[in-house]
Amino acid sequence: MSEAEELQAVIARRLKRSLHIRHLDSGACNGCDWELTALLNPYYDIQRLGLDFVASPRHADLLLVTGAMTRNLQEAARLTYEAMPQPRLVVAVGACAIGGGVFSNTYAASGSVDAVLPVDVFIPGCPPRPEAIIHGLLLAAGRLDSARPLTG
Amino acid sequence: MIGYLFNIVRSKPLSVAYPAIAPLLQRGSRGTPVLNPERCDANGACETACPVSAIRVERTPGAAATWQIDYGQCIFCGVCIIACPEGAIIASGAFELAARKRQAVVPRKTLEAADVRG
Repeated sequence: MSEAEELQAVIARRLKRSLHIRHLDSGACNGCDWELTALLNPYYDIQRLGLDFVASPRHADLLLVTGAMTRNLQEAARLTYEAMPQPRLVVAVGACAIGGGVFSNTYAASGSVDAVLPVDVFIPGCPPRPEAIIHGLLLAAGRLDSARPLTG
Repeated sequence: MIGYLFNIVRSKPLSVAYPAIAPLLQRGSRGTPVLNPERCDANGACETACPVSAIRVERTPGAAATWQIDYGQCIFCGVCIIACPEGAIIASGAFELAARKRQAVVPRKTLEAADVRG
């Protein structure tokens, strides 16, 4: 069993397929952050799926990182990750967090979240639409329903 | 006043049943740019046009050319779709791209047509 599969088994057993999310903005333009805000509105309502945002990394199972991981926030991101209880997951949301996007190859950004934290799930998009983020979060929680063929 | 109360009682939940039912594409939503390898002649117009250098076209002498796009960098702006003189890149509307591996969001296509060799 690979490390990722082991983590999935632990999540299924201990967290009962429900995740508490801490959002970390590591230098985003706020595009992705607005899509995350939309997840909590009555239309997308991710609380119906057992997912919720919490106010502290100490209460979170999953760290949702947006933005290009600027140099000034590298240390803060590391401390946030270390403050989380185990098992913990990291999800990178948006082009900036995955490959730098429009901010790649600049002095002030480290290029990707992957350079600082171990990322478990990547959610591409600029910004990803709320359904794409829900898809990524369910993938992270290991509860994607394979009954419906996914688009693309 | 009583009309408002009736409206509240009659209104149905707004929530989308997303994971169970696929969402409708919004008007103007492009989704991922994908390549039709049969029309592509590897001229590199998309590679030059891409504002974030997400597309790479490789032409190696004696072998089939390859076309690769990094969805981890792509900003889904659609410039490559406009730039392609062959009309080989289309907007697919796909958005469910989340993956566990970085490499999984970098699809690569080999161009088998004879006129794109070397």
